Amino acid sequence: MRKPSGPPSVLIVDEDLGFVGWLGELFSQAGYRALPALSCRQAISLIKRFKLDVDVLAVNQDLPGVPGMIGMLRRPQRPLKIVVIRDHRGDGIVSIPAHATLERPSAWEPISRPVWLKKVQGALKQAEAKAAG
Amino acid sequence: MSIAPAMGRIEQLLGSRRSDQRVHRRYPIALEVEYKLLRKGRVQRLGSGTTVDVSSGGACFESADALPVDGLVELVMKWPFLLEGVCPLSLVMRGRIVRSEGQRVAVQAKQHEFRTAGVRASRALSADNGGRSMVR
Repeated sequence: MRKPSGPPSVLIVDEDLGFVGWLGELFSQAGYRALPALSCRQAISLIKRFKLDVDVLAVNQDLPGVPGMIGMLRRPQRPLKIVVIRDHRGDGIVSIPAHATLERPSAWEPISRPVWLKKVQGALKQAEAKAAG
Repeated sequence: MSIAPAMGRIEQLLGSRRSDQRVHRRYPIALEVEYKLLRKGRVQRLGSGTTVDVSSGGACFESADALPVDGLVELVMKWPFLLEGVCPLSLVMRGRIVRSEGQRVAVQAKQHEFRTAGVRASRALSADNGGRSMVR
């Protein structure tokens, strides 16, 4: 496994291209190196080819292949922090082991960068605390 | 008063739609973009700019040049981080120009994908993709 160096990294996996880009910018503002993928298959391809060693996985729990991808990213040395991306129309049930959640905004909801940066920072803080505990 | 809650409710009521049919929300993202205006499979013009917003359904960008509505374009948006510090990652989008007002150009996407540059790609690269490899 590759040794961690530089800023911590987050792998963002979601089918919504705009949301992946949006989260990428926000995670990078929060001090993370953000890596994008539009499916678990694509993420697994990146993990294999580049031996990705990520600190945080932000993933849409409804995508096919999530458990297998999480299995590939887990390491004994450091806990993988998982932030689940939920759809705003969903039932609120988190179906995978998660340290924090982020809810995708509806198509009509206004979005503000400062508000969303706080959401992302809050999710990271919560994930850190939960993973440590 | 904002209409967002009402629109959200309408969207919720329509929530049984398949996810690929949902409205593509646009996100304000500023990425460096290089475009190729294509005609009959050939590159007619090259240019660069910055994205204003991006969604699964398309992108809007600003460029110094005006571009023709209905033109086919390929956009290559530069992801700001290198994979494992060495390999550039780009978002490639192909589509049609649906609006062009002054320096602002809106593109409806026909397809999009992330691509890595060939620095460490283990897969054989075809000559016609500029040394890039698709991430599937």
